[in-house]
Amino acid sequence: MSVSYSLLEQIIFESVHYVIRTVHSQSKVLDPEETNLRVKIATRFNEKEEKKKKEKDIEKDKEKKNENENQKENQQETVGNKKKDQENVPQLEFISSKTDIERNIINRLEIIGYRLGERTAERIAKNKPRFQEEVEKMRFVAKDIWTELFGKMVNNLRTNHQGKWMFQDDDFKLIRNISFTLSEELQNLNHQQNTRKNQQKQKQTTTTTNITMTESQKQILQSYLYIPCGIIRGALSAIGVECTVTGICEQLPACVFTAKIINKK
Amino acid sequence: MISTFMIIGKDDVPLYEASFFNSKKQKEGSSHLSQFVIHAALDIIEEKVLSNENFFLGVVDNFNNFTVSAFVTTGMVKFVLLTENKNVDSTKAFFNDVYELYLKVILNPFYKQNSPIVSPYFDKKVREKFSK
Repeated sequence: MSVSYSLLEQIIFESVHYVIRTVHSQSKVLDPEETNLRVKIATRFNEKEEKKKKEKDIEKDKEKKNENENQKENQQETVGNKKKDQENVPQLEFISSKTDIERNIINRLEIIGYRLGERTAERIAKNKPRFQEEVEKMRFVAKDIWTELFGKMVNNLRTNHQGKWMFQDDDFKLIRNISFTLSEELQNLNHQQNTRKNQQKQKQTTTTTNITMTESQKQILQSYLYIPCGIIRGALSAIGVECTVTGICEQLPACVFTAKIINKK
Repeated sequence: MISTFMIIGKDDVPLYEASFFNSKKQKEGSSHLSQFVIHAALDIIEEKVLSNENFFLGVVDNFNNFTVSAFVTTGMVKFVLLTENKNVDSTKAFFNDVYELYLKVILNPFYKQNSPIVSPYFDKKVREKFSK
């Protein structure tokens, strides 16, 4: 089963990376009224995306080995990062305005998750009795489908008793290993604090550092949450509960999926 | 002896139909009748689903000398079998076998759920299971 998890992760990451790339490349081609300035910003953004991807891979290796070197580098880079942040500010408008193309792609991602959820629910529900109550159905999604796909259960399942259910996962597998280069300084601050705490301990356990993020980072992270939203929606629809699902990620490994049930009268 | 087996999807859309005949004379007139009987039995099946939490619902309806037995999954996909004999145990085994086949059909990423099942392999296997 561990093999299938990594395949699933890979597929999802590949599809989302492809999406991010196509969104920005397509919007360049199909929107002739774009000004030169916007085109320049788009090209710069594409380059930074590629840089980020490379740096993500390199960062994972470097983080554990070269602690001191990173500290020195980041003291010099903090100035450089501030400049990058300023450059990123005009791009905020570019990212957050949802064009038709983006909506189309988000829809497609969600449908991928929907179909996955449908099939998984039908397959897993094989040996379990049919669900009569809504609570049981939600619990089924939270426990069985989550363990099947992600290896753990949802940490917290809440409702407002008016058709709204919230699945909170404190360590969501699909976004667990994402890191942003712009918050490198933050990561290293967290890392320093943790090394001081752990100096007395012999082993350093994996730190689930909750990193607060800027708006643009949240926007990027949002695109990884559409497939799980679709999975929840598909699974519930296979059981017989029609709903709309949205996902929010406030701190990096923890995210909340909200399902609003559509009442057909 | 006429027997018809149908798979009906979530929104009462028929996904698969198979009829088994012993002689050719019966074939001409009875296909519509069996579909009609199964369609009429759907209401009763829905009622039974609310009270019964097992997948296998057993004999659901009788019409003249036909008996209708049903098997409903979590996703409200109904397997309905119309027979003229009254064996309950063999139908349960048959339903379980067909359910396994149906799960395999679902796992096909090119198969859209709640669309007709057109795989000839599925058809062949269902007929094999039924003849047992």
